[in-house]
Amino acid sequence: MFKELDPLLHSQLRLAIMSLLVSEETADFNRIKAVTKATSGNISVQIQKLETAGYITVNKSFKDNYPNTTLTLTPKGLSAFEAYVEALKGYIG
Amino acid sequence: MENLQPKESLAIIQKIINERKQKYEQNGIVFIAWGILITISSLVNYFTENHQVWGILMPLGFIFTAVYYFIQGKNAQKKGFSLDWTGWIWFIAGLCAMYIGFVLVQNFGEIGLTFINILIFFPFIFAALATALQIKNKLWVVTSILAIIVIFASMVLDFFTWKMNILVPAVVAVLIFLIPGIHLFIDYKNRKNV
Repeated sequence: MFKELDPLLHSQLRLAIMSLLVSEETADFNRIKAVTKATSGNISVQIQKLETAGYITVNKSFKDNYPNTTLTLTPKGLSAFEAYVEALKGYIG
Repeated sequence: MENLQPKESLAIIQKIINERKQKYEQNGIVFIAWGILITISSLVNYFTENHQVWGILMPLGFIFTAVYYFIQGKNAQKKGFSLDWTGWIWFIAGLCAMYIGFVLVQNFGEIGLTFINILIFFPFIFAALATALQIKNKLWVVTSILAIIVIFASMVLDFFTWKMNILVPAVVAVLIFLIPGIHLFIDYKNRKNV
């Protein structure tokens, strides 16, 4: 019996953002944009979904007079990511 | 880059998850405890000129650390990850410090205090720097480098007054244990409150 995959993480961009944060813990918007090659609008929407789920925290500040958005992975997000990887292992067998 | 099998890829991802989990479990309590114990010992030694305090507080610290890591190790096993190699570096640094503290100090007495400071604290500074780099803690990297400067500058202090060297452990302990420990503890509390 295959475990159900977390629908929130089962999206290419959200999974990419979460993977980056698992690896680096914290990343700013530009870093995410550079890694994922997605549009700012799309990234913003996916960030909002992850934040609402409590998987990440979003901190908005200013850096060199420009707005700077920093994302940080939460323990809940890490657990969800781990559960997702566990479920994936079941698919591979 | 070599082509990985899906299972190998997942194993690498699991390893990264475990490293992150381990960092999230790091609450800095042991470092705060050592920072306080060494600072108190150093200050008591300086003001009372009685070095017996080291013989009381240091074994207390070792017992606390051993019990703490025993419990942490059990919890880590339950949560599916093991304590990493940095734990071994701290363990070896602790053994070196015990040997130097209890064996060499008896033989060299107060004459070699500067070198005893260096011999005892250099392995700890190395362990602190290695751990700081592993968990990518910039503040800890900076305080460890400052501690290296302090420990070598203490050789210069010897020319002015020998007694000042008694305070060197307090400064090093604040730099490599207390400040990073409090920083880790605040981070840990913030994560728990999310």
